[in-house]
Amino acid sequence: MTQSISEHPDPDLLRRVLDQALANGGDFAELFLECTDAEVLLWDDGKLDRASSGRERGAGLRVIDDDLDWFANSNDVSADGLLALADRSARNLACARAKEAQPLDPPPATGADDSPDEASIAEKISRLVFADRAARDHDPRVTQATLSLSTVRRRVLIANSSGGLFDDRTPMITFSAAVVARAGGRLCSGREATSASRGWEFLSEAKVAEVVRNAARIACVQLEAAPAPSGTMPVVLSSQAGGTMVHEACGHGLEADFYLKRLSIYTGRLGQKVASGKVSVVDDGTLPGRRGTSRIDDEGLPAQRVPLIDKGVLVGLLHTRRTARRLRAAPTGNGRRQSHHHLPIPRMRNTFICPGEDDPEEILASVPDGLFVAHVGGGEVDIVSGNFVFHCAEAYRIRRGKRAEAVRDATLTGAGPAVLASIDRVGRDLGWGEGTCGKEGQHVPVSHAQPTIRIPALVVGGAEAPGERPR
Amino acid sequence: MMDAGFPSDSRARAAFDAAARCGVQQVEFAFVDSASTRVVVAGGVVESLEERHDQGLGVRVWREGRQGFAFTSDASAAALARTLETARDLASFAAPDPVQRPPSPSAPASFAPRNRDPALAEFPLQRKIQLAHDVESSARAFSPEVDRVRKAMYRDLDHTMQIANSEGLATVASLTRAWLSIEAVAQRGADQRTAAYADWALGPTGLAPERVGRTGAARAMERLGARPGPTRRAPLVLHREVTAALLEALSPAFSGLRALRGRTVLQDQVGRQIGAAHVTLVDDATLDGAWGATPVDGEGQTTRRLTLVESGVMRGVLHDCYTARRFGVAPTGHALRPGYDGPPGIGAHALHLRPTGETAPELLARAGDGLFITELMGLHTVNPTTGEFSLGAVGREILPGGELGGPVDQIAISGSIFSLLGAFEAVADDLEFLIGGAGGATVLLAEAPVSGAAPETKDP
Repeated sequence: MTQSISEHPDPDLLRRVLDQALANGGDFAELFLECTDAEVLLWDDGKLDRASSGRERGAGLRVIDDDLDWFANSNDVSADGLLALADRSARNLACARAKEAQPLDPPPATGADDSPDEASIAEKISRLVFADRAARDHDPRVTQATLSLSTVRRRVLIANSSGGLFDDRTPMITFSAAVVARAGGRLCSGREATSASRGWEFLSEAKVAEVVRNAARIACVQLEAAPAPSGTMPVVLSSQAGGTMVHEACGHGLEADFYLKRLSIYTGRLGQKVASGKVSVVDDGTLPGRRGTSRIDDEGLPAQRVPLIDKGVLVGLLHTRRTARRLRAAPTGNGRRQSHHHLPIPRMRNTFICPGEDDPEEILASVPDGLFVAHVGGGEVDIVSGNFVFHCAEAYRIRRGKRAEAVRDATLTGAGPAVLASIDRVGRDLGWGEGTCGKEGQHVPVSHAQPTIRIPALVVGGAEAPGERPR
Repeated sequence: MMDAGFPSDSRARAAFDAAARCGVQQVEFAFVDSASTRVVVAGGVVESLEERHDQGLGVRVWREGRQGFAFTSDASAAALARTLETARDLASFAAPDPVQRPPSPSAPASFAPRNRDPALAEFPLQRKIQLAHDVESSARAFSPEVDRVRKAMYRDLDHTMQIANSEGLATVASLTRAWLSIEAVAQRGADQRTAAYADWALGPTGLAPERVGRTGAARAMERLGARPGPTRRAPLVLHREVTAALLEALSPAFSGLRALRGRTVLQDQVGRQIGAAHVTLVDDATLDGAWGATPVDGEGQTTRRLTLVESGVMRGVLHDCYTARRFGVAPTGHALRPGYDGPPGIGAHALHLRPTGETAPELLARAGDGLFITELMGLHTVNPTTGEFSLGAVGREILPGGELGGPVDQIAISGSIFSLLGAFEAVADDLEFLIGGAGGATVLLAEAPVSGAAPETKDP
């Protein structure tokens, strides 16, 4: 796909492709054209180590026949290539049931984003030089900084046999820092990243400095940290920890494909209490500039604010067109795909626990002995049992209601519904984190947030031997 | 598979001509052509059928010791010229390094691992669909408590990479793989559990759908009734899939680039004892039967068997051509290039441990009152810089005598690459190479801390 295909789609060609795809039957055909320009600058060892750039373009064609998705993709987006793709789909469609196709609406249903700010490579390198210096100036124990600055411009055009024609452009800028600190024989690392669906204007010197200093601080704190305690104890999750917990412990279980197949621990519980009355959870694809934001989803439906849990009661799910139809629910604009190589599936965008009424300082003061999590790494959930795990990149013991010594390599594990039901304090603050969510082999950008919360009892996995836990 | 005819390939010739036109002398082209099929079945119906075909080109350009990379999925001459110009221009921004230059041709491989099943190309789609159905029906026939699956899946891959560079290097490596997998769900009352299993072969005729379905179902059944285990110290036996996953997650610590940049705790450890005397860790891309078997790496270098740890002593480091030059050693053939859209990185092909002469049941018997760890969660949080990890785990109690007891979940295990390799007491003889790369064998570890429920705590 060249730029022109998104700006000047040829409705006749698209119509012919969709007609051809349905030549042997099928209920619905959808052509997903994508062109992504990506540039990555990798800074390592005090110099620009690697610079790469490229264009990936292609088409994914799906035909839905009852509950079956037939899908094929190709990098050949010429007229002949698209018609050949359609021909392949039609040939493969065993259960032929012709449907009357709808005419395509000529004008795209959505417009393009304003062009995000761009920067020259020289400007970007100068920002990396600044970041490298900021990391090393933070602490003399910092020995290495690996910095990555990537910019992605994604353009999509979606045409379907119901007459829908949509296009969208999504920019993404991501800056990440991995800092290594060394003292004596000990080596520690800290990571931090920031990302937004915006242009160069997002990545100010102040923003870059904040990211690298956080990464450097985490690395240096780990140098002096004791092994994390092990066992069950009260845990305070700081708002600065980001929302990995809500993403893992709750969000995935509310993606409607899992719900529909009775795989989610929340299946059948719409309208029921599934969390503490202090907990409300929302997924919002409309928050300006957030990593999970876009105008439309990858089926062409508008992104929305989707209430999921309201004061502890399950009120909503995240849908694709298909799951919404199957559950007779309104679509929510959560049908996302990594690229033209994939089918759309229900995915989170920007997911958060809503702020409550408690004073974050008072929440910390309420715990005589426990764990304070300042920064969370990655996590994972078992949808069926609801069991989740996430790693604490920065954590501290709580002693007599105060943040005490740092501990390293703590992992938190528990059962999602039980943990959500047990949350008994919810702060009035809100802190965001950004990440990349993997599901079914597809990775999509997301963000997540939460206020400071207290979980009365959670399993903490650390290297401190049982029995060594100070009283 | 080496193809002596490749240097005359018209595509490569056109690429070198285009490079000359844009003033590029030192260049490497990596052409990738990849086709795959994916069939997902659940509830007795085909849920999705995906046929993917991807082609693209990755270009590395060197100018005065500076490297730039660009890629395209557009096969046109205009896109080729634009990609070369982009790589050339990006190179001008990179820091110069005198050893940065294209890889030299390496001696041809004296072996050829069996890496292709020619039958894949002719295998009908309907039979692929049937294999996925057979996986699901075998799982559901296993027990009435296995009444659904998240998905039963057939997948295959036919992948070819041609590499040619301005030093005269020209290689073609091609492979086929087919695999079946299942995520089965077992339910007893309100308790529902899932478990996965997958198995692979070079082509679809080597697959065993009934075994895949039954194994997935049995694993899900075994997890019913799991409870959080107590916090304690216990001997651990790692299921061979867990061993493989841990090796894979910790393998970046052996990277030559990390050693060069001080980003691995294994820097300067060659020649030192880093594990117990039973630990011999090898990477061998020349092995038939390894998922990662390949005669050449992502830079076209011939692969070979490399011992990383021998009897507990670190002996080897994973190198590509650049890090090998920086260390003044020969390349080890460990450049990995998963696709055309990124420059090669460094990684292992087929890591595995040498067995110590016992069987898996014998290890379980030695670990009386321990825990058999069957799955780890959060493996992507393993820190390859520090070599430390803290992971969620599920498994089963080991009863005295080695019988397996009840299932446990919501536990966590922690350690480091040193504590892990140092705790190895035995490696069983049940090595199997898994989808993705590393080989796993059942392993017995000395007592380690296990985090779980506090003795006084009721279930939340």
